[in-house]
Amino acid sequence: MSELGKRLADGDEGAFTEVVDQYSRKVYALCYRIVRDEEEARDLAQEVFVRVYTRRRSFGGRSEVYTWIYRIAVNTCLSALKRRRIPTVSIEDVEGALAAKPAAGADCPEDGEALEARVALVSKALEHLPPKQRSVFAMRFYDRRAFSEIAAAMGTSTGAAKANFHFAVERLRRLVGEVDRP
Amino acid sequence: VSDKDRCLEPKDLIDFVDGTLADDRLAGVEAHLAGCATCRSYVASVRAALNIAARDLVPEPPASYWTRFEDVVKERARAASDKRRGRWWRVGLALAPGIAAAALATLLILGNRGPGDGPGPGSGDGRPVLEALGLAGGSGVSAAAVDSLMIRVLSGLSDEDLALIDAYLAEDGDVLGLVDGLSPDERQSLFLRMSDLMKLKG
Repeated sequence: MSELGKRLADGDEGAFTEVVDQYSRKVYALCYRIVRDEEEARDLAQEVFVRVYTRRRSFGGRSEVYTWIYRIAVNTCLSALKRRRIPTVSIEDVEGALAAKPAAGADCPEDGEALEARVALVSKALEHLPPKQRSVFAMRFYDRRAFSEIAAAMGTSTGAAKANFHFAVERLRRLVGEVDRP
Repeated sequence: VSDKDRCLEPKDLIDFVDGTLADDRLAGVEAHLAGCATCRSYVASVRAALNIAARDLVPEPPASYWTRFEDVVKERARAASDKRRGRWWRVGLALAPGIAAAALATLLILGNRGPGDGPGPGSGDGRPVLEALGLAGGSGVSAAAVDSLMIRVLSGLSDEDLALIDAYLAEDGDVLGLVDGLSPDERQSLFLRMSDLMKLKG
């Protein structure tokens, strides 16, 4: 077990402060990328650390501290999505938006307005990804976590984590391709 | 030269862009890409999609959110702990999903019934349950025996146990369905009995 993990499990308040300093922003970003709602993400990030705080003595050191925290974060967010039924964008909405913007950015891919439109559409596409794919994509693409770490956080196999990433990337690729098609 | 039949799997090309392709396959993929326009186009489209995804930013909360973060977390942890203890009677029922919860409810109902009470939920032969819990032996179940059982159960719970049980309740929230068959009077009786036990524990 790491030194920080040991101190955390011993109930050391200073260790908890270190954990907050080290991971709160990352956890907030992960929550936002999973639930896609700023206010909800702020609340969930705090909820994650409430759970870390109340369960810290049961941290057994079988995983790294960050893996343990990320697992709590992913479970908290997925439960919130399930329980609160945060609206997600349907595939029809995304396709409708794509159909309404043919060839956006096709003539000038780096044009500010067109690029903004494409980013907005990709943002919508990210909202539409199934929650598990979104979670994996967030941890891999934005946080550069190894697939083994992602698998541990998701409670799944490395192969399943990779497959979720591949599906997510392929879906985004298709959507961006649709936008660029003249 | 593109050869459709020999194009690489998308997952390999995604791994190539992501930088996670195994070292022993890297040279082979690079060599293939040099000669396959279709795969090069696929790789370009993956890169384009990821470049756009990289611009999807996380909104930054106000500074006060971060300065108060740890304090708020600890306040919420305390409030959650108080709330859990306030709901301890639900915890008692949730301790062991299924038989143990039903057994506790049965015991509590039996503990509130006098010898002349009529039939109703919990008034049947509770002996197997009592034997399983080590409380059988007499002609009935005393309130003291029930108190003893509940105190034993509750005093063994740590904050971590409570947190886990709370998570269970949040997931399956229908534990109280176990006592759905009770009449309003019986429910009231059950609640009062548990409230008394809570005072004893406190």
